[in-house]
Parts: sequence; structure tokens; C-alpha cells
Amino acid sequence: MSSSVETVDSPGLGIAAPNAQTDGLRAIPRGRMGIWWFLASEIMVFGGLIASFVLERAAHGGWTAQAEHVHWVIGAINTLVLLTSSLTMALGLRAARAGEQRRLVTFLGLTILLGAAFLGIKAFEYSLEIARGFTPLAGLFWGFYYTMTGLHALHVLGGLAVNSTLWVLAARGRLWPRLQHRVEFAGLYWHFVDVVWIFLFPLIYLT
Amino acid sequence: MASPLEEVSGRGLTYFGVWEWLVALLVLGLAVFVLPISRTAAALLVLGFALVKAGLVVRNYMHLKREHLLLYFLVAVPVTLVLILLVALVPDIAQHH
Repeated sequence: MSSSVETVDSPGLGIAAPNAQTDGLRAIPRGRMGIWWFLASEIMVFGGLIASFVLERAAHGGWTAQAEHVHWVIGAINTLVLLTSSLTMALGLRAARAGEQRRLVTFLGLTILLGAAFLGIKAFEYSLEIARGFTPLAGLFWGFYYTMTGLHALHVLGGLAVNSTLWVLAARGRLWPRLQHRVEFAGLYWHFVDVVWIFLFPLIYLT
Repeated sequence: MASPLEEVSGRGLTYFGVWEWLVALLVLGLAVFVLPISRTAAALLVLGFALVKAGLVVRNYMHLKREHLLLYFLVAVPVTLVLILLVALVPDIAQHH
């Protein structure tokens, strides 16, 4: 057990941490730059959807009545699940950087389980809403609801596929040096998916 | 081996500490709707909490605060474009409704 206290500011170990003050542009690894470019394009996708939702909602006062039928408790539980999965993903990256294979396997496994739980809860929620007649064609609000949460769920599914692949590689102890970078990139994507939900939850369920 | 539950003595947040803040903000966001304030004020408060939560995740879990300035621009440009889209469409929405 290490006696050092490791903070978010000093995760250390393994991959060289970037330093905005001393490193030049070339210090950014190409893979990290690539995933941030990808995430920037994803901001446009979800940002455009969210902007459309906000404007349409402002234009149609009747949406408030429709929005009251969503299950905010289920949404809150799912938010907690996804926030926790971000914690386990971050801890997985720290384990990867420290070369702790067993801990990486454990934390990646927990992240996968939490992601699967999120999708399972979402599917249950969809079934409740569809059973009450709130299908994607039930109104503009429900169209937006299923589009935004469905697109987000697809992203969670993609993240699950990547994390599962990394979990298998980590469990077999293969590709260890490269795996650290891959866990970092998968983590960036996973946290982004979490950030998207952080905005979707209050917009759809609370406001 | 570092524990996720390790406490930090005034030098920054642990990953677990960030998670605690995220959960606290989630609970606060739910609690504002029982406060005797208008629905609009509550909605603005909740969206404010969402901004703080997103900032916590991006800066601490995605480590953006230790990244090169260029990556900040990469994030800022699409966010700005989305805001421009939002503002640019407001007159159109107002005219039709």
C-alpha cells in the first residue's frame, strides 16, 4: 500500500502528464488530440439537439404538461449510476497508469456493470412510458425525449463495447503498454457521455 | 496501492471527493423543487448545478485542467457555435410563436 496521497491534481505514474505551462503543442499525444477532436464534433451533435429542444420548448408552453409524465426518480437513479461509473472509470485509468492490472480489471468491470445497469434502467423506463401510450409519436416533446435519450443510450452502448474489449485485454494481460493509452481515450469518451447526461437529466426530467 | 477513499489534506480533490460533490449537487438539484421559489428560478438553479457538475467532470475526471490551451479551444469552439445557433434562432421562434 502506497503511503503517498494521490489527488486528481497528481495522478502521476505511467503516462506523462501534460503541463500547460511548460510543454509545447507537440507534447499533446496524437491519440489524445484525436479523441478531443472527436468529442468536439460530438458537442455539435448533442449541442444542436439540446438547442433545438430548448427553443421548441420555449415556443410550446404545452410541453410542461407532457414533461410531467416522465419518471424523474428513475432519471435521478440513472444519473447517480452514470456519475458513479465515471468515478470507477477514472479509478481504472489511475490503476492502468500505476500498472495495477487487477485493480484495472476490477474498475473497468464495475464501469461496464454500471453502464449496463444504466441501459437496463432506461429500457425499463421506456417500457413504462410506452405502456402508458407515450410513444415517440405521442407529441413533439416525446419525439425529442426518445431522440435525445435514445442517441445518448447508443453512445453508452458504444462505450460499453469499447470498455468490454479493454476489459478482456486487461484480464488477459495483453497489450499492456498501449492499453494504458486506450483506457485513457475510452475514459475521455465515457466521461463525455456522462457530461451529456448531466445536461439531459435536468432539461428533460426537471425543468 | 492508492485507495479511492484516501483523504487529502488540503491539496486538492480526490476522485472520490469529486464524486461526492457530484452526488451532493445532484441531491441539491432535486431539492430546489421543494423550495418556495418560482419554477423558472428553480429551473435556472438546476441548470446552474448541471454546469458545475459538468465542469467538475471535465476538469477532474477528463483532466482538462492539466491540458494544453489548445484543447480548451477545441471544446470552446463547438460550445460557442451551439450558443450562436441558439441565439440566432430565437428571433425566428419568437416570430412564429
